[in-house]
Amino acid sequence: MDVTLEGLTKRFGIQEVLRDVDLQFIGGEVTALLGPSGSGKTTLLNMIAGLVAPSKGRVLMGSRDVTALPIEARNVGYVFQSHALFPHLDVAGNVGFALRVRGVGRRERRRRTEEMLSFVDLPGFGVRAIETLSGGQRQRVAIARALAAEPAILLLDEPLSALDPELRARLRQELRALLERLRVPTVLVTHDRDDAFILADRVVLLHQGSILQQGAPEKVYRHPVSEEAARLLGAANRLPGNKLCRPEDLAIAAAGEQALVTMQVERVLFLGAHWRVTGRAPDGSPIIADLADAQGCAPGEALRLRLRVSPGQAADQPRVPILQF
Amino acid sequence: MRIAILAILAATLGLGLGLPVVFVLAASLHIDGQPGLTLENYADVLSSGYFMGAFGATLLFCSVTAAAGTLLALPCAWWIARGRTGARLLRVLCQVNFAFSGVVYGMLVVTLLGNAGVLALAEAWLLGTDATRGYVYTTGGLAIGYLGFQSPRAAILIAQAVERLDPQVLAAARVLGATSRQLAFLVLLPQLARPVAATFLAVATMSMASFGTALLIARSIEIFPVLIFREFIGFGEIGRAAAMGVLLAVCCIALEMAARRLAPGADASVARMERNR
Repeated sequence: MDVTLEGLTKRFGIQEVLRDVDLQFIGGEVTALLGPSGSGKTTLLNMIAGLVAPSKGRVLMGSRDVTALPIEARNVGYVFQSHALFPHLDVAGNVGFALRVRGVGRRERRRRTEEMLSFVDLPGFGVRAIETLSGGQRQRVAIARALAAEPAILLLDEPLSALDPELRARLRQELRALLERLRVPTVLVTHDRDDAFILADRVVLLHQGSILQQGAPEKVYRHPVSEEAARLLGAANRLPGNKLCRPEDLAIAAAGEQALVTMQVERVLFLGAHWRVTGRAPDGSPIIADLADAQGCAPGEALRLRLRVSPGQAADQPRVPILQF
Repeated sequence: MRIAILAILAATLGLGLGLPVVFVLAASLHIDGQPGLTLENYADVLSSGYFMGAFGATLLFCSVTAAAGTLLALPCAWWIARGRTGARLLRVLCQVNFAFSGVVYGMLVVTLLGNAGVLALAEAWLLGTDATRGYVYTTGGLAIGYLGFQSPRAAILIAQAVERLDPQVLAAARVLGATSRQLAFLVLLPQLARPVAATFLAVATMSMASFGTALLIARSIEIFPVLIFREFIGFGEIGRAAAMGVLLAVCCIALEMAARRLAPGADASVARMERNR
């Protein structure tokens, strides 16, 4: 079942947090709402769930208007940032909670709970207390709980925040594998570009309460519709001629090769897979270049940069089109 | 500097708490005119049907009123913790309660339900009856006096427990389909059970040890701390009064330890309440 948002607007007093948002979430597709703090992404998620009432607009589940329905009648699966598991219930009690409050019989509840725990690769965990679970296990229990009552849509609020980088990277992969198996529309909120790119089929960029752009991760990264959209997804360099390019699109120009820009190097950082060289263009605008090899570059030096090309491409056909606004 | 502060603290504690405790213990183990230490005062109290009856009655009365006071405090605590309209005023009113001694509560209830209390006079003027006249001196009147200081203190303690609840857990229950009733019975009350039980024990302990209200209005029931006061002031039975005090203290300490065991997080709150008593 698809979920559609029509002209959703939210005002808190005189402050407009969301403005005329139109979106459609399709069954089986994972959509990431990506934006900085205060862009309205969690408010949007809460309006879908019914936790926040819209000032204007409609939420449709299929063809049914659920805007006026109370939270408990919406049939929404929500995985909260803190997972919000019930500490007084064991894993099975948590997963079966939605069925319990719907009056589903004990036997059916147990069957469904076991099915959901198997789905999230936690078979036999039903009797475990919540405090004995690891962060990843808690997250999977929260997902199983949200899915147990077969919701019309699954919402995830910052599912990987507050985790250390190593665990975050591992859970990302686990979560991606889990979400790929779902048939309901899934919406996740994040301010982390990597989370959005790895987990989502579609990215919706939100900025100051409005949708800036939406599309496949690569499309919005490679073809941003504005400088704001470009910068929301990572660093971007402003080049002469009011053009933008990504740091990884720059390379050192060989002697005799025409340079796109000459940078006065300020800092050289080794980041493992590449070097990050930062400095300034002659007009003073900041430049960031991610280079495969920057040995020999030193602060204070002038570095001639060109656009990187893929093997077999001519130098005037860069791998990435320059973003021009 | 730290050593000086520790020395001042040790001296203050020693003089303010240790010394009186030593004196009371020594007095409880001594009988005038007899040399050495004896447990006779304790035996006297423990074998007395009158004293033990009063102790049991006090324990029962304080337990029942503490339970009622804790239950009455639940909606108020919820209101305060959720920051509903007037929550700040309600919190201030509950906190003001700490400033009043038991005697003040006794006087307030007398003013309200005494022989010449406001309610009694209003009833006589409006209806020509005297049903509420002197009600303050009944067990019901005493219970109202106790509830007056128990409920606000319980409300503050429970509000702190409610504030510690994860709001996302409550939202999760609603999103999962729980009605308000299901939310209360399946999520809220199970999570609040331990803090509520700890609050009940803390309030019961506080009531067991307070005597100001009872001193003014207890007529229908013997309140144990009032008996201690009478033994000490009225009859000059210092040894017996001290033994009774020690027994009451042991009971209160046991109750308080149970409260702390039930809700470790409530320790600070209970300690604060005890300090303010």
